[in-house]
Amino acid sequence: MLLSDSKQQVERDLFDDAVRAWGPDRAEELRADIGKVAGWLALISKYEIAIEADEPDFLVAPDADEEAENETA
Amino acid sequence: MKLHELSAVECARLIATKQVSPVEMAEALLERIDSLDPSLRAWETVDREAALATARLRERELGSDGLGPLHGVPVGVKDIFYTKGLRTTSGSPMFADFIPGYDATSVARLRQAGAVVLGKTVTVQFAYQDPPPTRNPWNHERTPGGSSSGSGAAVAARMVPAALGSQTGGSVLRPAAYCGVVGLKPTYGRISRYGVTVASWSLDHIGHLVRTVEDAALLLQVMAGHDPIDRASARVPAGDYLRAARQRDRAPRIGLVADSLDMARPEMASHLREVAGRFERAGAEVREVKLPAPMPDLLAIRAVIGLVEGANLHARALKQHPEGYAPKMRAQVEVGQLVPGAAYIQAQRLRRRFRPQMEQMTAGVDCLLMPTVSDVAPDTSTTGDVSFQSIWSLFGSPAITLPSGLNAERLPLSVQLVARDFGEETLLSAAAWCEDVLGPMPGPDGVQ
Repeated sequence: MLLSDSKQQVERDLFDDAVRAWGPDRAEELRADIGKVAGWLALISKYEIAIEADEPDFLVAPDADEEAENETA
Repeated sequence: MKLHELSAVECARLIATKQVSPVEMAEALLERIDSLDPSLRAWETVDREAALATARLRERELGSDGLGPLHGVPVGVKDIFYTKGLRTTSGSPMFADFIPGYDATSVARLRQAGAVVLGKTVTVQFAYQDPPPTRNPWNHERTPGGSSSGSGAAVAARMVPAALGSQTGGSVLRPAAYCGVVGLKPTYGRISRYGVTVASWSLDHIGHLVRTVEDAALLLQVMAGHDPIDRASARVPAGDYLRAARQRDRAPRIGLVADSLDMARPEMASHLREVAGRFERAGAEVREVKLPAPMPDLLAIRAVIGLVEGANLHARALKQHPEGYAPKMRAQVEVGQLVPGAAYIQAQRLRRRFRPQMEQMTAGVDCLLMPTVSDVAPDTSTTGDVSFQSIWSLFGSPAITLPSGLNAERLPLSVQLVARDFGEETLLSAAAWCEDVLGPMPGPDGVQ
């Protein structure tokens, strides 16, 4: 599914994903939970977050001192 | 003197001065557990032999130097904390016979301080939401809350003066509120999480349930401090929490989170305002503060993070051992796997973006004030509403709940105080002052 601030859209997409993953019967059993989660996803999707210069990288560049130590070793 | 009514501080003092024996104390509480627990079901495992052996050892140690601050004090441990040689089930049949070979750091520190572990208190499965067998001592038709269900019930019913808990959403403060006791969730990383079954890596906090603010400070004093084997353990030095809790004469500056009251039931919102008025008349400075975003949005951010991290943790085990999972836990893991990674990243980025604004709420005040729970304890088909507690799990801020009276049905009411990160000393001072204004909370009817 793609993020969307439309709860209905998110719920439809999640339900289709649940059918593919768990089968139609189980997906139906999960409908209430899916609806709840769809509401959460729609709420957080309405925010557009500008990237900040100091936003952390998930891959951290090695420290210069650490690199020098590795070369020496 | 009713031994079961003693706080942890009082118990430690009377034992250290040989007015009460550790064995006498342990026996009294074990007898009380025997009497009350068949109906309350707060305990998963009571380790009678080991507890009495430890109590006898503590008795022999009396008179020697270097007694710990919890010497001889009985405690309960939520059944997701590893206890060496004592089964730790995490509430799942998959771990019914699992016996850890080591203590969680928090448990080890309690033992080093002289505490006597009476046993393991009931936890909701994997610290999530499936209702436990535990009953609320105030009304057996009501939930004690969760996931630290057994700890809440055991402390409220005076089976033990203190018990460990954990909080990912609201699992320390909510059972404390529903059971009419004090619950403390310190800053994220303040107490080591090593040796505790993970529910969500970036949301799990260790906390405890007690009956006084001073006891909350005592246990925090014992357990706080950097743990090198827990990567999330804070390096900020521990404070002097006991001293802070004893400095209870300065009226705090309080920020009332007024816009949160929209999500509370009318009785709870009205009660919160009435308590704020009492604090103001007693000398506190109370002003209104606002959340940086609508509360439903903040709750959604936490919920997505917890859902995805929990699903990732349990996906493989659920596939291999579906019989080991209770219905709500199973549903969380299944639905959580459907959430796209982009949503998880969005939630974490929003968390990071709102955090400075949340910290700004505490500028110029000692603590925030809001309800701990949206309503009194509901029925046993649920463990209750996580809303008011989970914001502080999301942002990692220290929070404490204080019992603040009983409603017309004689169910506990409560209020929550929150401070800035690593502001536990300020929080405990403010909480101690508030505790004095609120007055003592009686024990549950029918378990005197």
